[in-house]
Amino acid sequence: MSHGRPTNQTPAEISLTPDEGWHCSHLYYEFDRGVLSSMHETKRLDGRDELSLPSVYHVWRGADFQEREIWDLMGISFSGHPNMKRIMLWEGFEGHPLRKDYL
Amino acid sequence: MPIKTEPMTVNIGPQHPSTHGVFRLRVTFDGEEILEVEPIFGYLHRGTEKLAEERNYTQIVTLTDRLDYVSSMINNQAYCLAVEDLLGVEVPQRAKYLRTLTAELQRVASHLMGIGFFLQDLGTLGTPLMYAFRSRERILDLFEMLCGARITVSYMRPGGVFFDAPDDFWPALDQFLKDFESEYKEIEQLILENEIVMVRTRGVSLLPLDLAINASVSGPVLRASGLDWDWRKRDPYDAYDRMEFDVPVATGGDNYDRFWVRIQEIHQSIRMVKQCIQQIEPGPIRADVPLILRPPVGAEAYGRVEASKGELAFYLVSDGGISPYRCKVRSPSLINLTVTEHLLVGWKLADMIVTLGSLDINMGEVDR
Repeated sequence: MSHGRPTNQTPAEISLTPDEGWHCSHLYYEFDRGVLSSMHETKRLDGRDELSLPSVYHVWRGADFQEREIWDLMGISFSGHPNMKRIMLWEGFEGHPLRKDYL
Repeated sequence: MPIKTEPMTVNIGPQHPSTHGVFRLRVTFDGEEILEVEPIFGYLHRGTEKLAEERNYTQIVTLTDRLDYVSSMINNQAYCLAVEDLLGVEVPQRAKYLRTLTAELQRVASHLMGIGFFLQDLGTLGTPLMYAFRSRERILDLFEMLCGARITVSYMRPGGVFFDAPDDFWPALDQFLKDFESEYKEIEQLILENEIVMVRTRGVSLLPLDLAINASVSGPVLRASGLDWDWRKRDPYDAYDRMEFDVPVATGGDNYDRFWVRIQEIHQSIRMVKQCIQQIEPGPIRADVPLILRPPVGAEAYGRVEASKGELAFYLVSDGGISPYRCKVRSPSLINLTVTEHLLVGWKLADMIVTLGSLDINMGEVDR
């Protein structure tokens, strides 16, 4: 696991402005005969609106609420998720609060 | 002639005593049988992750208290481990033992509450709950001696703990352990082999192991389904590598097993507390860390502990400032709730309340 592992990213990459895009981290756990192996993948999304990633709901059920939470708070939707709606906030809430340009 | 029934949709909660906080279940019943379930939450959403981006690293400790408010010590521990990872700080031995000790006491307190409310949900009208609270109260008194607070403790800090235990803490702890032995035996005699508990919970709301793994379930709920999975054993943090303890595992995955695993874990926690008392030695309680913490630019850390509800983790990303760029909380209660639908559909209304109690969720942590 990433124990205090400094990444190769420069400050400019880490503090992305919303116009440049988003770094999206996927962190999955895989169980292999009781031993944990992990997979870490980073994908870059461009733009601010209508961001979408393929859902892993049908592979890992545990992604259900977490993907909904990312949509709710970060504004990245997941295509293929059967119930893609807000989870913490109410329907009709404007904006995605965890974005850096929200507040 | 069979009697026809119409499906009926009912909202259980958000203001319902057995939903353990402000939790709503939209349930469709056919008579008493459950056809559909939709868990709805967010009523306690305070935006902890966003607030963390505006506070410095030490201040966030107080936010973590308010996540799972019945196991604040363990939340503190997970967060502090993540920050120490970011900074590369080595925690002194005495602080490690104090953390392990308080975390295990907190686990006892949390499981006692889990057990008490589980039986309350079964309809026991308060007797076992009061028995459990009697012991929990003593643990909270011990915490008060350590840090002046009972629930929102904020006892741990990045680099160690805030105060050393006062001199009268150790005799009080010994007295508690002595009394707890008989008190807990009393609780066990009352409930463990109780016929009504067995009939109501055995074989109800089964969680198969493959679904448990697929849904990322963790903690007692996962161990009740038959997987020996405990971060204290798999990836020991603080002083757990020097502790001798067993991981209770059940194989049934029903309500009784989830309840049974918690009861057995209390024995193991008490075992660890006793080992901590034996092994702890005088020394510094906090590493030499500056008042304002500034982790290196681009550093990221994942601090993970076995909390009383399951795997609790903090994922921190630093941009070199005094507050984290991103603070993600992996809360076990939220992810354990993924299986609610599978557990409830096909069972009766009365089982629904018990199953919810067996998951032992905490809304402060689900909503964050």
